[in-house]
Formats: sequence, C-alpha cells, structure tokens
Amino acid sequence: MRYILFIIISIFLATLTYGQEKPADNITDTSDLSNLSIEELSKMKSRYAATDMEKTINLAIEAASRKPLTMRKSPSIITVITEEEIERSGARDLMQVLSLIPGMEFNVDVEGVIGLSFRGLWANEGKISLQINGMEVNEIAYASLQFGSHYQVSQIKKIEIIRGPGSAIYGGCAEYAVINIITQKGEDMRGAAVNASLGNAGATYSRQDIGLSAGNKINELSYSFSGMLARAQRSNGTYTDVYNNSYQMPGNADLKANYFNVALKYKELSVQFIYDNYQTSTRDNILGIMSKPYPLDFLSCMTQIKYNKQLNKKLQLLLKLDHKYSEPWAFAGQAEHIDSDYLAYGMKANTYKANVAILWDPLYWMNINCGVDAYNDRGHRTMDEVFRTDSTNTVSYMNYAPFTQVLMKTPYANITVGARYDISTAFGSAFNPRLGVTKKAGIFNFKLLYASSFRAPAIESIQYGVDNMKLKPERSVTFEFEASAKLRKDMYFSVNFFDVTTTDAIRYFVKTDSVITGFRDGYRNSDRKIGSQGFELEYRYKSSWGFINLAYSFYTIRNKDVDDANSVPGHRSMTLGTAQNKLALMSSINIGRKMYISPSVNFLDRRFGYSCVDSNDNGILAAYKPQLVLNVYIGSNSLVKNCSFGIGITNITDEHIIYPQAYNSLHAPLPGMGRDFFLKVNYKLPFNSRHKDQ
Amino acid sequence: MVIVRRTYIRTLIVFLICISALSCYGQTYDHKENAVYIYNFIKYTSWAQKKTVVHVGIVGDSRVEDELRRLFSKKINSSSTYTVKRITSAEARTVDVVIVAEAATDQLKAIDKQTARTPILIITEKENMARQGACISFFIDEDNDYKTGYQLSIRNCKARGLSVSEQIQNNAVLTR
Repeated sequence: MRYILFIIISIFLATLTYGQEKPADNITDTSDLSNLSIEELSKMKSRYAATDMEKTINLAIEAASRKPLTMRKSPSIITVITEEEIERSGARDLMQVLSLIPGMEFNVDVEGVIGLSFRGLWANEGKISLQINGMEVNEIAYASLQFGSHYQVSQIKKIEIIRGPGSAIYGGCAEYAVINIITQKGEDMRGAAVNASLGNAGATYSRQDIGLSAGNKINELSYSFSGMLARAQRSNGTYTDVYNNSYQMPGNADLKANYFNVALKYKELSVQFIYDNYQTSTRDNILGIMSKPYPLDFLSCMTQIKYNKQLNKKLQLLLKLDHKYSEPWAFAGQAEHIDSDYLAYGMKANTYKANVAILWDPLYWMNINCGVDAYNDRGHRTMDEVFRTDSTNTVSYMNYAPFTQVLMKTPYANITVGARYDISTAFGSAFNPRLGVTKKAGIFNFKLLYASSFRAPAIESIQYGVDNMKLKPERSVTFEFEASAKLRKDMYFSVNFFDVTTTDAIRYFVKTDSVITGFRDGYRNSDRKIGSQGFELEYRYKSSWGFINLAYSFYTIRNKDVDDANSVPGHRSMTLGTAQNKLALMSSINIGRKMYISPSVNFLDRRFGYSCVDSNDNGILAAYKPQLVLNVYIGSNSLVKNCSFGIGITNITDEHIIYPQAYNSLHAPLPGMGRDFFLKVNYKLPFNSRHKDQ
Repeated sequence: MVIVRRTYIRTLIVFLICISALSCYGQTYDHKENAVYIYNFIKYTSWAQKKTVVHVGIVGDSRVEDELRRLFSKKINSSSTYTVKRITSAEARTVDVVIVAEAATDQLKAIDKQTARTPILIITEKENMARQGACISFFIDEDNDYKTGYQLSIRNCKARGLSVSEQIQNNAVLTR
C-alpha cells in the first residue's frame, strides 16, 4: 500500500514539472468579429483548441443517464476508454481493455467460462449489464457474460463504464455496473477497413482474427457493417483440477468468436442487428476434468429498432423495440461414457422488449424523462428436457417497468432524482430509486450518489430454485462519493469511495445435510447482508507526447458480511478469488512523429482460492502470490498511408496468470495465457471524400 | 479496521496535498469575442429612454476594457455612440451598462443594491450570477467545445425596466 501511494505521488510530482501552460489558449486574431451578430457568434466554431484530455472528459456519456451528459456532470462514477486508447494499447480483446478498469477482475465460473468480479464481489450473473450500442448482450438463461477473445475491439469508438449501479435505468441486469460499448457508425467510418491480428505463444497460437468493416453516411442515410472471425486459446499452460488431474490447455480450451453488426439509420429511425456466436470448449467441467474437451456454444442474435422524434423544442419522443434470441451454454452432443456427468443442455430463449419514453425540458433548469419499459422473457428447453420447477419445456415471464428521472440544475448543484419500478410475473416487484448530486467548483467536481439496484432472477435461477423456492430479487444499496479535479488542461484525477450492501443475494446452493430431502442443489436467496467498501483512484495525463492512465482500486468486506461460499477462512476483509489491491497502468509514448510505444502494467495483489481437496473432499485454501503482468506494444498509424499496424508482447515476464473461482465450488484456478507475441494490422480504404461534409 | 482507516486517510491526504500544490487552473475567455457579444447585448437591449450615448462602466480589471474601446471606435457611424470607463462599484449608477470583471465579482451585491430598479444592464464575467443581480453572465460551455456562452435573467432585466430582444434570448441559457 505504501509503495502504491509512493508511485502515485511520484507520478504527480513528475507531471507537475512538465511544461508550462500556454497563456494564449490558441486563440487567433479576432478583429474580424466586430460585425458579427449574436447568432453568428454562437454558431462560430470554438476558437479554443481543447486538449485531447478535455475532449475525453467532456465526451457525452449516454449510459449514465438518459440524457447525454459529460463525464463530470453524469450522476455516476464513470470511466471512458476511447478508440485511440484501445488502438494504442494494442488490445485485441475486450477482456484486455476491462482489466485496466478499477475494481474489475476476471474469475473462472465453470466449464472454462471466465466472468467478471467487481469491487470484490462476484458479478457474473445478472449483476453487470454489458451493452453494445445500448443493446444488452447478457445471455437470457442465466444473464451471464463470457469473456476471452469474445468481443471485437477494432471497431469500438468508445467504451463507457458505469462503475456503479444502473438498475434505475436498465433494470434487473445492472445491479453493480454497466459497460456500454459504442461502435463506430457510418459517419465515423466513411470507408472500408480490414483488420487482422496474429498471436503466438510458443508452442501454440494465442489468437488469430480477421475483421471487415464498412460504413458511410450519404445525406440522411447512415449505414455500417462490421464483422469478425476469431479463434484463440485460453491458455498455453496446464490445468490441474482439485483432484490433481491435469491436461495441457492448448487444444483443450479453444475459443471461437463469429460476430457481426449491421446498423442503418435514416433520419430519426435506426435499426441495428448483432449476431454473436461464441464457441468455447471445456474439459475442466465443474469439479474434476473430463476425458476430452466438449464444445460449449453461446449464440445470440439481437435486433433493435429505434425511433427518436423531436416533437418540439422542448419535447422528444423515443420508441424502442428489441428482440434478443439466445442459445447459451449449449452442448447438444453425447458425452463419452466416462464423462457421463457432463450433461447435454439446450435452451432457446427470446426476449421481446418495448420501450416508450419522453424527454421533456419543461423549465430551463429542468429535464424530465419518463416512460415504460416492458419485456417478455421466454425460455424453451430443447432435447425433450423440462424445466425443473414448472415441469414444462416452455416458460414465459412478463415484466413492466415505469420509470422516471428528473435532472435539475440549481444554483447550488445539479441534482438527479430517478426511480424505476419493475413489476414481474416471475419475482414480484422491485423499486429502485436513485439520487445524484453533482457540483462543479472551479477545477474540482464532486459527486454524491445513492442508488438502489437489483438483480432479477433469470429464467434458470427461477426454474432451478432449491425445493421450488420462489426467488426474490437480489437487492443492493450503493453509496458513492467522488471528488475529481481537472488539474491542468491535460491532466485529470479522480478518487471515489463506495459502500455496497446486498441483501437476498441469489446464490447457487448445495445441501450438505446428512439426510437430504427435496432437491440436492439449486438457487436460493442468501440470508446474509453481503457487500464491500473501498475506494478507487483514476489519474489521466494526456499530452502531445502520449498519455498515461493510472487506475488503482481497493476493497474490503471487513464491515460487511459474506456468504460462506465467498469467504476466505481466516481473512475477514477479502472475498475468494479477488485481489484487494489492484493497479493498472496504461501508457503510450510517441517515438518521433509516426510511431509510438505503449507499455502497460496490471498488478493484482494476493488472492485466495481452492486448488485441491483433502481426503474428505473439503477444499484446501491456497494463497496465490501477487500477479504482475507487463505488456508492450509498438505501433504506427501513419508510417504507411491508411494503414495502422504494430507488434507487441503481452505478459512479457511469462507470469503464471490465473483466474481463481470467486466462490467455493472447488473449481481450480484456470490458467491464462503466457508470453504472447502478436502482430496487428488495420488497413482503411476511405470512400470518396466528397461525402465528407455531407 | 484501523489499517483501512489509515489507508483512507493517507489517500485523502495525498489527494489534497497534490491538489493544493497546484495553482488553480481555469478556462479563459477570448475578450475580443466577449466585447462583440457585449456590443450586441447593448444593441439589442431597449432602455425606457432611447440612448444616443451609451456609457459603459467596468468594475475591476478586465482585458475586455481595451477590446471594447477598440470595437466602439469602429462603430462611429452607428446611431448610438459609446463610452467606456473604469468605475468603482459606487459609481455604478452613473452608467448604462456595468461590466463586472471576474476578479471583482465580490462587488456585485453592492452594485446590485445601489442600482436596484434602475435601468442598468449588469453583465458579469463570472457565471451563475443572476441571483446576485446580474442580467447577463458569461460562461465557458465545456459541453460545447469550450465555446463562450451567456446566461440571461429575463426577470432581472425586467426588474430594471430593460427589454431584451429575441436576438439575445434565442441564444441564451435562460436562468432565474
């Protein structure tokens, strides 16, 4: 801890000595303005040259409130990752990008799937909403996410990460955080592009992908297409289960992603379609390893139709229709006799969603947003299987959610008050209010936030309740305070404190009674009040020579309770599988005018997990040493016309990366990729430049 | 718990030290642009009695003073003529337009008190000054590429018997 503070102070002091402010602010001679009218003055392009840092912190954030606000004004704790930062970091996968976010860590779930933990709490099923252009991509059966060579990063314009609850806006899948990926639209592309990457980790390839994209805007019509085919290995290491059986990961943990996204926009109407077919193979199973790898597929198809109409100067109407088709965790084949505990699973699920909302500015200091969100989740078990609770192969749940949000600009502060009331045929109701106060004072900005949020039980949680127990929604209350400062035009610093308390946590539970009645396992609401507290720091410095992004996070559960399945015996302040201290550094330094070098560091403090069992099949707790991953990428985007490319090494020191399980289900830590050499190329073919100003 | 508290406190101390070590940094106006805005505000404001000479007083030190002198010297053929002078807050009643420099914002309350209900257009360089009596307050709009904007208090203008035209209202951020 002392060393981390020392690093932060050193970086501050180092940057303070750098350069002087330009007093002139790049303002040119304005003598020709004298005859301009007010209207002409207000339409005039700003003559202040905002720095890249200012542009970043003033990006309009769409995910934090329904009305786009800048990062500092938004009533949430936010991290924004820009297209430039992604490109210069050399990241090939969303997982690499998210590992730089304070509080976010990756842990193994089961069957080789990697999910997210946030602020020390396992957050994979229905707790973090991952969205692409506002469309939620969590699968429907468990509301889970799968990471690792999954989501394309080459066509991302920016990623907005709401490091805090989002249920008051997004409902039951955004209890702890929201990640919104904004992809490039036609007007951003104005051409076609091909990108590819090749990675090698010694004895095996690490990742190979190829992507194609095209898009343009012609008059009122904007269109874009982007697609990717990728294959990768989870690791080049060896997996050893808790019974000390091992296998080599290459060839046994393949990851394949086929993805494409088509978007069309004409005037106020926009249509988007996403096809996402993620295929993994699992040999690690849930406890002990299997004799061979089995395919595990996650298919999603999503369509959204959106209509935005400005009815008058003060009133805007928004209509949205969504359809999501999901076939998650699918294994349709026949397991070997020796692996008979590995069961075929198939479920076809659909979500139909309609959203009507208005944005209204009744007073100059007030913005009101209200509407109704209604959706229908339908699940259909295939292969002649039936759902456990209802003993039928088809289930359907309706959810209605009126919501409102009022943004008020007062002389003292900006205030956001909002609430969403979900009424469900599956779990009853959930009321989620939020209150946010933001205040700018010179270079400083303060946020005081309160939000109630929830996790809606997903189809399989409902249908797999212990003894047919009707699950209640999992509820969380989060308090956050953030202080940030724009220290200079090119420097930004923020610190935030959080306190999360979760009640009725939905947990998978295995009975250990001597005499078992009813079902042996299933989901139920925990009677513990779990949660975490801590703080996160973000420091950003962006100048003509490059940039530094530093993120540090700390959590403790000392003042909270935790389920036995997540606790670390003998360590009251930590949860299983997560590091209390996390430090991520991403930087990029120009080499001359055409090249750059981007070193990055990811440090995770000591973690705990279960790697083996004793003679009674009880897990033996293991402490995993701190993990330091160093990466470097050298690239150029102007050495060859229209072409950006680079070479890099991830995990330079060949650190033994592991993803421990964040709950005690006796899945041993899954190894990650060792040292990996890679090459990235992106070639752009701009369309005719006469469209540029259209 | 003690360790956690210590960590919190240390981090906070580091943060505050770093902040206080820095000189406060704020965005600066383009005073030439502000001068043109002010000229237009005067042009599109109606006083109960038509002004052939408009006296502009500046309270505090502002670079807009020189810019206004320069600008008004170019406007000799217009129907009104303009004078610009540096004034104290006590002299505010002697002019038609008072411009309060950012550094002199603390004098705004006194100016408002002395000039209450008199037809004097009060313009401030600091934002959010309507509650202290400003008719128009400049601000830098960070959400709009750092362009100069202005807040208009129609209530304060009316209380002073001033009428501002649509040209001013249409591009203003209305405030109380």
